Amino acid sequence: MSWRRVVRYLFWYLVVFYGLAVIGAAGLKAYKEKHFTKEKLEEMLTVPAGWRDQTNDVCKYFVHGDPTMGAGFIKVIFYCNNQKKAVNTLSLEAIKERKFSEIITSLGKILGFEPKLVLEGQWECYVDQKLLVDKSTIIKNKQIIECVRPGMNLNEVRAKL
Amino acid sequence: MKTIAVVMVMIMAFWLRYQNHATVPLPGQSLDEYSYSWVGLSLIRLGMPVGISGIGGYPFSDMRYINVDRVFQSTAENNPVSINYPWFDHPPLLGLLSGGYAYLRGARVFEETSSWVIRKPMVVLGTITVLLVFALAAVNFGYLAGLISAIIYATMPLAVVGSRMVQGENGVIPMWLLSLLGLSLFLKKKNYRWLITAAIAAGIATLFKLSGIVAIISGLVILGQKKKFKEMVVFGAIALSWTSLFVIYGMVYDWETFVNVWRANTGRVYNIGAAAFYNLMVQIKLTHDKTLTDAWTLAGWIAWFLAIKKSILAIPVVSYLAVYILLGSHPYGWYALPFWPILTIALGKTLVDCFKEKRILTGLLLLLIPLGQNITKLVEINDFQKYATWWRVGVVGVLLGILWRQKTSRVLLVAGFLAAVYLNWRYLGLMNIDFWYKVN
Repeated sequence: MSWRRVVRYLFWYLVVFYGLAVIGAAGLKAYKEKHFTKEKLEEMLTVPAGWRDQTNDVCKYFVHGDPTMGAGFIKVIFYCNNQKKAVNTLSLEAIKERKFSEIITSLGKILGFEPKLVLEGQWECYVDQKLLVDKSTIIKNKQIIECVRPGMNLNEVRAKL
Repeated sequence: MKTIAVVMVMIMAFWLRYQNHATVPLPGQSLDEYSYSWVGLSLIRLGMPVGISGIGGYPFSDMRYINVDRVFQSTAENNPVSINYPWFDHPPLLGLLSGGYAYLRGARVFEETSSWVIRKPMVVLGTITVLLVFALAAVNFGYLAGLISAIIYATMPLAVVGSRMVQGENGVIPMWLLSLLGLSLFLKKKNYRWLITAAIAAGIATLFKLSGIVAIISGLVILGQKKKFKEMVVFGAIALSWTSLFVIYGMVYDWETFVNVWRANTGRVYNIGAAAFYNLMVQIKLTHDKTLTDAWTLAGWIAWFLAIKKSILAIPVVSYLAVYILLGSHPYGWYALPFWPILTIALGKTLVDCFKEKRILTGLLLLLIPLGQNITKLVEINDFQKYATWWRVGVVGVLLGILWRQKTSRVLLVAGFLAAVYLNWRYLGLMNIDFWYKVN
């Protein structure tokens, strides 16, 4: 193959290739303009898997680890009847709303339990030994939410588990 | 008969990769797998690539707990994932493959990209890679070398487990092999269709991960060595035109962020260190906390040193070694995956040469490396004591047999190879989720 032929071949190849690339790029941009919305993105980020196990047992699953990120963390501990406890540690970087009700709602989405189980009377939750009555209480960095069944003594349950 | 043998190797390769593909490695041991898939899924659903990044350069980070495969109860490290968009850590082709497959299987949200879905295309790609290993070795060194190389790569534990993962390298490897195959056929048959195929495959390799640039580098060096300068220009221009699609992609979404992310990439900590070459030979960290020592890699390196005069083996490995050391970053095992196909071909070729040239001692000693190591993985040292006498007598008998009768010793070489492959099979058979927890 002569150099002349190489140059001619490459010229036409690049013209066609980049012509198609520009059309593709325009198409990609148009597709994004048509389909991208923050609501749809939020849905993709937060909606649980259709097949995910939904549970009534808040001790069945948990979020483990010790977050190291700047905003700090909180813990949510459930002491269950069956001698089990679930310790959840959540980075505050991922908690948009720090109200107790929103934290439980977020945790329910992450783990697969209905937040109403905790928020509507089946559990009593304490922060710094004080019973949480106001569901819109703001939870601060490093605070621990401890939840027990109504009628159970938190200190006794803590000692056992 | 020859075709049947290759088909059987492919079936074996697929079966070994498919077993426990969803659970070994454990889901979440590399969150990259989900990130790639989310990029693909979000490109399809939103027209915007959304993924996980730990790199600076993005204008914001949205921290989230996306509990796919319940990773926050098991393997995920301490922090939520950092969601970024438009995501530019890597080109999107792998994401389109794994995320696209997940979409076809009904996934619509990120939590639905479970490992049992997203790893399936990788199992198929891994099996195709075995075929490409066969083809490349066969074209350059003959059918038997191809078959032996394919059998080793099909059963090598590191390759089997590593090829299941949704990692860019598992897309780079088949494209790179296809490019090398195209170049080999072009050099033999002088048909420019093969050169163009090689160039396109090399370019597409970079659309899986930019370390796929090795396909372009090695192609240019191979052609340069043969003084085919016009062909170098054609190869380079076509390959790089495909690579430039990633740049155009960056321009479509956000050029400033694209540049910033790539600037931040160059500032990554050089964690592989000066012992990188040593570690490639003896210890492969397959995930960030699992080391899967596979003696076939050491045997492959030794065979490569013996066969290094062959440029089709030397140039690709040296090219990727240069890319590997240049890019550095963490010593994750998947970064080393592209070495293994070529090293396996070197080993396959060397074993066949040993058989043909009656260099039986070399062949057997090469096989003794993975054979002995596989035995150690299968039998605890205390349990091995009852076999120790057989082992001593067997190995000494074999060595004396080589010295005495060459004809017999060829049979020993074949037996040694079959034993080593059988032990691969047995070891992989053990490798379920319970076993994987014990791998250190």
